[in-house]
This record gives sequence, C-alpha cells and structure tokens, in this order.
Amino acid sequence: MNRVIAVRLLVFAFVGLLAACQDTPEPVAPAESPEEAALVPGPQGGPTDAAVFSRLIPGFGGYFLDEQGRPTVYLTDLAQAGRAQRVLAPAVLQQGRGAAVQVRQGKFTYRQLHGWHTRAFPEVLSLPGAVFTDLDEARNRVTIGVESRGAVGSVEGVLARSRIPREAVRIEVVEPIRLMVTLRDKVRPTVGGLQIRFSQYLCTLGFNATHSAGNSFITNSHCTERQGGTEGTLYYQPLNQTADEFIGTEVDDPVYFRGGACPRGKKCRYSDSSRAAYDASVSFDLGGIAQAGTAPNTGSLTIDGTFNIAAELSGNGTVGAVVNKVGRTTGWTQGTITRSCVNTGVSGSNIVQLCQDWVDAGVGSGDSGSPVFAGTSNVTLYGILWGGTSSGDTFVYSPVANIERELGALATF
Amino acid sequence: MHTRVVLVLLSGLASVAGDCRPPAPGTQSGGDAVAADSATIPDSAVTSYGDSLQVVLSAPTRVQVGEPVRITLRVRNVGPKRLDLGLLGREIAFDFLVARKDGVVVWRRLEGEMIPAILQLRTLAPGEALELADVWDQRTNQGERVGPGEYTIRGELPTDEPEPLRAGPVRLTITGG
Repeated sequence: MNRVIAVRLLVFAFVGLLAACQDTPEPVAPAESPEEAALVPGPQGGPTDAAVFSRLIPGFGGYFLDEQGRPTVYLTDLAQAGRAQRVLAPAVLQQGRGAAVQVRQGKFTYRQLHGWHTRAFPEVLSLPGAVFTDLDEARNRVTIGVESRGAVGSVEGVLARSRIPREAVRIEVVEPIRLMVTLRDKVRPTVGGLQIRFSQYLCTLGFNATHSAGNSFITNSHCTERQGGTEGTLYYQPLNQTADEFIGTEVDDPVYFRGGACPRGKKCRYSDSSRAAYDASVSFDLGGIAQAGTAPNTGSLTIDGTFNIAAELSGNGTVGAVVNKVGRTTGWTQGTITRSCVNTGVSGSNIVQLCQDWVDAGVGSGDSGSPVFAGTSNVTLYGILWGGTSSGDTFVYSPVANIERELGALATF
Repeated sequence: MHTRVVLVLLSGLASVAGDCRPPAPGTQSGGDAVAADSATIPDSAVTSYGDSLQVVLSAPTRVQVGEPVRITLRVRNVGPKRLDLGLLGREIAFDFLVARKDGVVVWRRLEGEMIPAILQLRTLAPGEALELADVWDQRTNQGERVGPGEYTIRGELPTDEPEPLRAGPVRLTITGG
C-alpha cells in the first residue's frame, strides 16, 4: 500500500517537474525538417527520453555519461545551459548522480542526427562490410562501423546520395560482430571437429590433410555409404544436402581383409578411416581443430578458438596419457588412455579393428570421426574416434599411424 | 501373457534440424531405477511427456526357467506431424537391462560393446513406429543361467542427448521348471 502511494507521488512529482519546465516561456525549437518533426522511437530502440529532451531543450544534441560517469549534454546553443540543467535534473537524480550536468558545445541537434540516421541506416547496413550504425549521443554524430577501410567509400556514397553532411558522420573500422558459432553450424574454412552429413547420417570431420591425390579430410570408414570400399559418398557440412553445404566426396575407403592377423570368421582393418577429396570451392584450415568451449568436459559446442596440429603421434598412445577429442555431439572431452593397441570388435558386426586405443572420456552418437589429440594449443594428433560404450564414458580411436598405413601418407599441418 | 508399459518419452531426442521436434518433457511415471521394489512396479505404466512420441517396452510377465525371453522396444510417433529422431549407430543401438529383485543387473544387452558413434537421422511419419527387439536367453553377461525369481526389465534408446530415452521397468517372473 505504502509502496503504491510512494510510486504515485513520484509520478506526480515528475509530471510536475515537466509541467514546471513547460511553463517556462521559452520557445520549443521548431523542427529543422519534416522528418525531424516526426521524432519517434527509432531503430536504436527507445530514444523516448531524448525525444522529450529535444522538445524541451532548444539545441539539445544528446545526453550521456562521460568516462568518469558525469552527466553530460551537448547543446548547439550554450545559452540553453540553465534550461538543460533544469530539464535534465530528474533524469540525473534518478540515475543517482549529482545534479550538475556538464555542457559541451554541440554541432548538430539530436533531431538532425536522428533524421540523418533514420535516412541512412537501411542502405548503409545493406552494404558489404557494414557492421553497425549508431546515433552516437556521446559524440554528437552518427557513427557508422565498417569492417575495413575498403567499405568507407561505399558508405560515403550513400551519405552523398542521401544529402547527409559528411561532417555529421564518423566512420570507424571495427571488428565484425560474429554470432556464436557451434560445431553444428556451417563453418568455413573447415576444421576438425565439425558436424558433417552424408545420406541420413551425421558424423564428425576428423582432420584436414593434403595427400598426393589432393586436398582431403579424414573421417571414419563407417561414415561412408558402405563401410569398406569406395562408393563416392557425398559429404555436406553441416546438415543440408544442398550445393552450398557440399564439401567433398569419398575417394578412399580400403576394403576389410580376412585372414592373416584377422581372427577367423571376422574381417579386419587397422583403422576405421576413409579419405574424402575436398570440393575445389571449399576452403579448409590445414591443421585446425575447432575448440569447443574454453575447457574440456563442459558439454559446450560453441567454438571458442582453434587447436593447431603441430605434430603426429608415430604409434599407439601410452596408457595413462591425457588426450582430448572434439566431436559434434559431446564437444571437447578429455580423459586418459586406458588401453593401448587393443583388437576391438565392433558391436553388431563381424568387424574387428586391430590395434586401437581406448580412452576414458565422454562420447556420444554423432562423434564418429572426431579428432583425438594431446595438448591444448599446439597439439599432437593421435587419431580419430570411431566408437564408444553405450554409457558414453569410454571411446575408442584409430591411431593416425594406422590411418596412414591404410590411406597413405598425409600431411596434417 | 504380456505386460505392456507405455511410456511417452519426449526428452533426449536429437538436436538436429527437422520438421518437428518433440516438446520438453512433462510428467513421468514408471521410473528408471533398476533397483525398484517389485511391489511398486505396475503391471502397466504410462508416462506422458506430451503427445508426440511413445516408447513401448514389451516383455512377458511370466516365463519358465530357461525359456527365451523376447523383449521389444517400440518407438511410435503418435503426434500429427513428422517427427525427427537422432539414434545411435547404423544398426540402431538399443539396450535392455535385466535386474534381480535386489537391483543387481544380471544381463545388459550392450555390456562391453564398442558401438560406432554415428548418428542416424530417422523421421517417423504420423502413426509410424520403429520396433527394436532381442531375445534374452536367461544367462548373465558372464554366461551363467539365472534362477527362478522376480526380475525387472528396463529399455534404453541412446540418442545424441546426454541421457538415453528410457522405458520401464516391467516385471518378469521366472518360475521353476
């Protein structure tokens, strides 16, 4: 109850202050142009206060807090300083600041800036390299952000065609604003760890490689139309089987062999790996592996950086060694190698993968093909993951030495 | 004579793009504790998370010792729209767990299996069902025959979510021969 009364009192007090201001026999500045007269909340969202101040303070050019947090106002007419102090006082007090407002000489009124900004921003933001437009209260200008100096000329062209004074606009070269990208998004250049699709299946891109036959990426043999044998599987990244997401074609998936080291009744290979040739239009980062999250075992799929392959392990991993993997389902997981060079039967098949390494770390459906590596910056490539337990706490990978034994020499960084 | 436990499970499905994704889970009955007290296990239990997907676990309620036990997991789209599922494996991986009355799991279908971690996209049309079945030979994972008594059976269907879809438990009584 008391709270309601208090709120009502505040409202009355604020309306009273505004009324007092309006009682002052000072003229409200006329609009400089028809569009300035139509000062309404614009694309920046909510310049309602500025619109009110524009009506009540002739020559008002913007209100903001400076680097030290001091209330500051731009005025084109410094003779309006006293009026500005009175009008702005409630807002300043509401922000918990001292009542004193700094006054700066402005070149343009807020209404002018608003009109120019409204006129320019749709065309400017449609230009390649445009990042943002801002009615910049703190600089008494319209500020336009562009990715590079190369975009400045086109912005100036828009300003000229729109008859916006060049001196009213600041053009800054800024970093582009990037959306959060995950392992399941379209990423170019491609890196290891990204989601790939073929037919009705999803897997993970293992690593990029240059091969004597051309630019390639490596994923699992079971991530092809048929495990063992080359059928020209078409790969897409990340999901849609459309031309703009097409990345490459399976070109090498050795057949599984019987006899020799392979147990009777089984068929074997030393790696669950296949090689796909990149489409010429697709850019890729040789040695790059997506870093999902800022730490392992968080479940994050957001790409926060890149691991760079700097070496390859020459044989099997050592039991107890800590390794990582990055896959489209469980992201960046880390754990220790628990078994080295294990002949591993594949669930639901008569396939045995010879001399594989097991790791106690998280895995999930869709992680097939994930790059496995040691280190967290310049990393050593260990191989690619191909399977795991149903509980998702142990995975198995094919060592990169086994992969090259079957696919031929690969340059991976 | 069969006990049929109908679970409407809508959690833990693939997070890939599709026409229709199941909504977030709502209520759940039944339970997923392997060690559930058999006195509390219903002959049939329906869990409703929504109206898009049913996972039905079927098994006989009573068999003779040594008699093969056929267990079925049926996934059905009961909603009006196509439903996209993300499942583990080229051969869809699914698990059954059989536990004694004291909760000790005596047989797990995927025990010790190393499963290819490929994600299979399956779309179920309205009314369409996917049936997964296996037969338990009443032996433990160590190959020993189990004796007469009360058992519970639970079904699991891994997806690309951290937790699999779960169905059950249902009760199984093995009687002496």
